[in-house]
Amino acid sequence: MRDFGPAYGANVVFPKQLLINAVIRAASRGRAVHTTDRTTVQPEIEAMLNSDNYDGLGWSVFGESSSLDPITIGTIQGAIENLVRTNAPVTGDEFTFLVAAEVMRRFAPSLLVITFSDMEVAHFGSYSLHVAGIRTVDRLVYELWQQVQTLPAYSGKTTLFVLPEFGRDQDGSTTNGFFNHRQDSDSTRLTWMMCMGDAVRQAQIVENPIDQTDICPTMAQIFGLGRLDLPGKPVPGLWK
Amino acid sequence: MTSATMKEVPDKQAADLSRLTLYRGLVARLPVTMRPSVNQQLDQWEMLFPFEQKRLAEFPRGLESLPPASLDALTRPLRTLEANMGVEHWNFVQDSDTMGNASLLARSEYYAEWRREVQRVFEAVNAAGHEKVPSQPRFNRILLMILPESLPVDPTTVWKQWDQAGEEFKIAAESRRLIELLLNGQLGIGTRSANLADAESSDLWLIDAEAKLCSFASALPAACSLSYAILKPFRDKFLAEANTVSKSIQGADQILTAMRHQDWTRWWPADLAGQARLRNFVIDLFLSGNGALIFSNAFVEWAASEALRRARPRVMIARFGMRSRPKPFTSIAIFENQQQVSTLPDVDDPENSAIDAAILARYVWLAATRYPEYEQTYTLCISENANSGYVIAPAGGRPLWSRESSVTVEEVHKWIVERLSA
Repeated sequence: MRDFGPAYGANVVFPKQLLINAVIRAASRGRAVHTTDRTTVQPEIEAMLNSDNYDGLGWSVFGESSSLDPITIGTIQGAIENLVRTNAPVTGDEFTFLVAAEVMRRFAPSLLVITFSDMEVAHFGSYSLHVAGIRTVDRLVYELWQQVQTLPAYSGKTTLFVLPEFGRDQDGSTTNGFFNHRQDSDSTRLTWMMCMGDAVRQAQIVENPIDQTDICPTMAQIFGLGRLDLPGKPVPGLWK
Repeated sequence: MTSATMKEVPDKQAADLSRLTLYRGLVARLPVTMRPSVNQQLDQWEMLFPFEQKRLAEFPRGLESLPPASLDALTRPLRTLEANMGVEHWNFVQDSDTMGNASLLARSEYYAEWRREVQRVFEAVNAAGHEKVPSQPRFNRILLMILPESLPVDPTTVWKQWDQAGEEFKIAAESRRLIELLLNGQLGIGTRSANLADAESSDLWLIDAEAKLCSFASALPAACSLSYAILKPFRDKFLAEANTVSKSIQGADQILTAMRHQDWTRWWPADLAGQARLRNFVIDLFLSGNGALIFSNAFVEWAASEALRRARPRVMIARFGMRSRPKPFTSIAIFENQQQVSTLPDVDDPENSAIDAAILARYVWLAATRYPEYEQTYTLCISENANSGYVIAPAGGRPLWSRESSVTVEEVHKWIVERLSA
């Protein structure tokens, strides 16, 4: 694996938080965002991007400061320009995808983890928006795979894992069904995973349940990292 | 107010005070980690609905009925567990449930075991208290949900998700008139039971995404009536405050406590003036999340579910409504006030509102099925747009209508009133 970031720690970017904070900051300063004109949004996001603690979480991305370094800012600015140019629906996941695509183009990291979350609108009780969020991610994952095919750094040597972080609570539960994921039940624990690309031996369906803790050892094996002190075990039968 | 009732109020307050002092003394006999939730409920005694007060009183009654040796034996495993968890070294708040308490407990390696033990003790004490309560009269109940005319549901599919628990039926025309018939005039449900006319009973609830049901409130002064639309000034202010909640547990606890005790007087709608218990219910509702502050249909579902759990009313009418399309950019800040962060006008989203409302109406019914009162509950969900309905009768009871023939809205009204009068 190539080395990125101080002490080889992961580089973390929160695109959705950046968008949220930019929109809220603009509103709190009396500049409600007129969203028919995307170019008016661009300076709001860039102002937030260049401020300290852009994510509102106080995470330190590089070194002690929670502000971003110039290379990363340039990467995200590229994504912002794409966001403004595109006619795609403007959601947090759309922007997350654009930042991820820009990171792939500029840094080509060996390991890239992307978290999408539009479907988490379920917590607010709109099933239709929950499903719309799932459909958005479905499309973005397809576009991500297309991106993998077009970039020489990734084409033919990339394995893509797609998995929900968890399921949802059962209808009729005291935890209000699909709104939440608090139950200790199969409906929250038993989900699915799709695995495609270089490491996959052949098209198949693996019915035997695996644990989420098996995913890290699986990836470690793909990278040829040998035995690491990790919980879980590599998923059998995936690679060539 | 007559002189007799004027005297009753202070007498009742004195009796309540004396009873609460006794209850607090009994709660002090419990293991430390069991005290916060009971103490919090006792502190809010006046804000509890009659059903909650009766149920809460069973717990100290149960404690009182257990001889000290029995209570000691019952709680010994939990006290041992608390010692293993190191509770005595925690900064554990005993008079109310806090996020700080919850996080201390959840981080303990004994958490799962602790939950099981607490559950076991609660059940045993409650059972001891319950034995001393005389059985209550049983009467029919109505759970009516309205999918308004503005929501275009598909009558061929909308009832399929109701687990075949009931029967579809067709309404000949103008099903929207059902609400008027039920809530207005001498033939309305307000005249069918003394309890429904008694504000103290909390036996009649009207929960509305819009403001239609509350327009009948003058004919039903005893109704607990909540409208998402009419609560707008309060919701906006409350949401703005909620968005200042700190991400730290201590900070969040402080702000949530402050929000509970804040003076919101100028933000409440006039309809809720003098209804401290109902206002407290709304604050509890908004603090418990589940989208009640954000989407009108989530408000209706969660308010109705919570009212069923806390008040066990005889009549619950829940009316769903329209939500706007999420606006670009604001959809990523969904917990913000959409009007404030975007200058674009609101645009209705009827098709998706109908999907949400149909699913959430079923959720209200599922919530009702969790309680023993459901055994006497007649559930109806009406689509005004499709002039179609779904009815679930208690076990053994059968509705009068078949899927093949239509009924008039007057017949549906008469059927509901007869169920309540039975």
